[in-house]
Amino acid sequence: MAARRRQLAHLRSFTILTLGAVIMLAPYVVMLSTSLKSQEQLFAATFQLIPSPLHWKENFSRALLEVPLGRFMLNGVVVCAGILVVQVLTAVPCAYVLAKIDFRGRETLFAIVLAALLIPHQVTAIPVYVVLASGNLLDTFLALIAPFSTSAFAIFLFRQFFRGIPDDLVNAARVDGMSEWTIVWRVIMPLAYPAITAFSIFSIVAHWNDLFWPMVVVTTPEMSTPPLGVLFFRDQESGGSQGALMAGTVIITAPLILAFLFAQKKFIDGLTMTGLKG
Amino acid sequence: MQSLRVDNVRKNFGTTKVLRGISLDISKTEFVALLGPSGCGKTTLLRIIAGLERQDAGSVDIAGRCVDDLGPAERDIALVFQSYALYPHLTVAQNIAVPLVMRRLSAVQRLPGLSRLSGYARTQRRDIARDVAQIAESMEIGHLLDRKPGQLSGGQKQRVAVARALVRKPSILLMDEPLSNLDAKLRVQMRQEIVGMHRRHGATTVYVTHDQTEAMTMADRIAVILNGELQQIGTPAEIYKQPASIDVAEFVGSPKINILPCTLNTHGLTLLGTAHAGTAGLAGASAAFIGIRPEHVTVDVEGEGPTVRCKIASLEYLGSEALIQARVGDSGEEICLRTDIDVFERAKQSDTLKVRFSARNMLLFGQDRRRIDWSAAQGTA
Ligand SMILES: Nc1ncnc2c1ncn2[C@@H]1O[C@H](COP(=O)(O)OP(=O)(O)O)[C@@H](O)[C@H]1O
Ligand SMILES: [Mg+2]
Repeated sequence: MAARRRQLAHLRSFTILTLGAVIMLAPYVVMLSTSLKSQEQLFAATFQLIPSPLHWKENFSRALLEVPLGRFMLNGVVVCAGILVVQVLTAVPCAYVLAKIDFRGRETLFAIVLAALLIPHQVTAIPVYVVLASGNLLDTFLALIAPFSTSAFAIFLFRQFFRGIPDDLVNAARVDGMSEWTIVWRVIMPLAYPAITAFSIFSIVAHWNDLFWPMVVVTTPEMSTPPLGVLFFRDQESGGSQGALMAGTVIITAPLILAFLFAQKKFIDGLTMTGLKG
Repeated sequence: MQSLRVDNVRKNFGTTKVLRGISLDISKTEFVALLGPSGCGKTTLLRIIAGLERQDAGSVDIAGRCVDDLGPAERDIALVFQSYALYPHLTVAQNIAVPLVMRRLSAVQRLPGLSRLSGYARTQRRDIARDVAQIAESMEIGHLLDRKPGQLSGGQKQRVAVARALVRKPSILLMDEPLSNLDAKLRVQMRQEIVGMHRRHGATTVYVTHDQTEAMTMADRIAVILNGELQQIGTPAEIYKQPASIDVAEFVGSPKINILPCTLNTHGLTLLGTAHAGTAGLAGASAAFIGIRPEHVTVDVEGEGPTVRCKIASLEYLGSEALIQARVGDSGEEICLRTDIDVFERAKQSDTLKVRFSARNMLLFGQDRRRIDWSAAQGTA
């Protein structure tokens, strides 16, 4: 009887989770399916998940050859890596100070960081744009990277994580002759590895997929990041080839999906250790 | 030669007065235990000596030099933390090497791979490895050098922490309850090892503990701290036999000393409502309390000192000896006595007992709870 009830409960949570997964995955599945279809199949009267005949060859070769998708992806890598490195380099020392050094006004500073979490970057877009434009920096990597050089979220996440590192470890390092900088790089950084991994995924996903900011500061295909590049592609074809467009999006989302599958365990460990997971 | 001097150090956290003016003088190669119940400010004092915390008033001198404005690294001290505080991402060898690497190599020379390019960095690295191996050998952890702290037992971590502290030959070694995380058996063993290590290396040692057995067995001198005040500093025997106050007498010694209110003046001794005649040896003294340790409450018929009749409340058999709790008359005062097994066997047969407080070992305390040195007074009387 009890076993029966347990099975039923299992079935219920399994159903709910499956439903959630289907809803989340549906757009991706449609994207994949579309990338395999010709224009006629796309507008056929009945929806086919796996079309026949398959048209993936045409779509993917067009996506790869007609627009410089490789260039977009390379830009994406440079921008994401640049942003991530700078964010980690700025957020780790800030978080260390907020977590491990006692001084007057620390709580206020932390409250300001929390407040910054609430401000979407669209709000500051215009002032930042004006500054970049007046410095003649539009259409450069700097314009794509610099506005994201600090992250309130990273500071918050790392601070929570660092609070879990024993104070005595930091004190031992001080007695052993390390300066605060040395402590940050030689003791805190190696221990923060799980938190940095978790944050990396957030940061990379956000900036790889970001369409808003590249649209604001980039005007040429040479500087385009993948999502913006795909839009150039659509413009060229005046919306006439969804199959190839979706093939393009399949290609640009693939690295993220692969990376997540690869780092999934680390990612979840990192979240668990920062106490963010429920 | 004086090695560490703490002069009237005070520290408040908000409105709580944690240290209320502590002064200590510790000479070179001495092993001093700071003994006190938890929360009395021992760790705070140690952190102030180490430079991890700033005192509100007073000063700290190390080797004759005022160190108030120096950071922990410049004070030539080493600290063994209660939690060991080993770097989890470094191997045992790297952990022990950190204090040397930080002092002997510059930031540039510390860059990985540089020792391949610079001859100086290479020799330094080689010397460091030699020193690490040497101290590891003397702490008997030579075979653990490639392990990470996560793979060590509590006792091994303890040794690594001590090795890391000693490798640099600091002029003062500070230890904060280093044995409190070990099991009872290992604690006894490490106690002896730390004493042996102190004898070999001779570093001036300040050892914080709340465990009186540790303090008694290890230290040259014990500093008893209660409520943020230094109550007494002296050899273990002095602390035990001549405690400065009732508080020290009660804190040191287990089971606790018996403290009984009394009236002692030129008219004689009145204890628990009974006047005692013939209390020879107490003549000329006056006191408000007497203190008598459980082993000095005897059932001897002969001897000097007041006797009282009491009711046995409980008996504890400890193997080589026994403890008897007894209630005196109808005053409700409880006394504890430590006896041999014969007495214990006899006591089991009856429910009352006549005990004698050995006059020679009786401690006298005044109304202010401070001890009265009556044997000295008696000598002159
Ligand atoms: N950073 C701090 N802020 C506020 N109170 C503290 C701080 N450090 C210690 N205390 C308080 O000071 C008292 C003494 O602490 P501590 O020196 O750690 O005692 P001990 O080591 O003797 O157990 C305790 O009551 C503790 O709560
Ligand atoms: Mg303590």
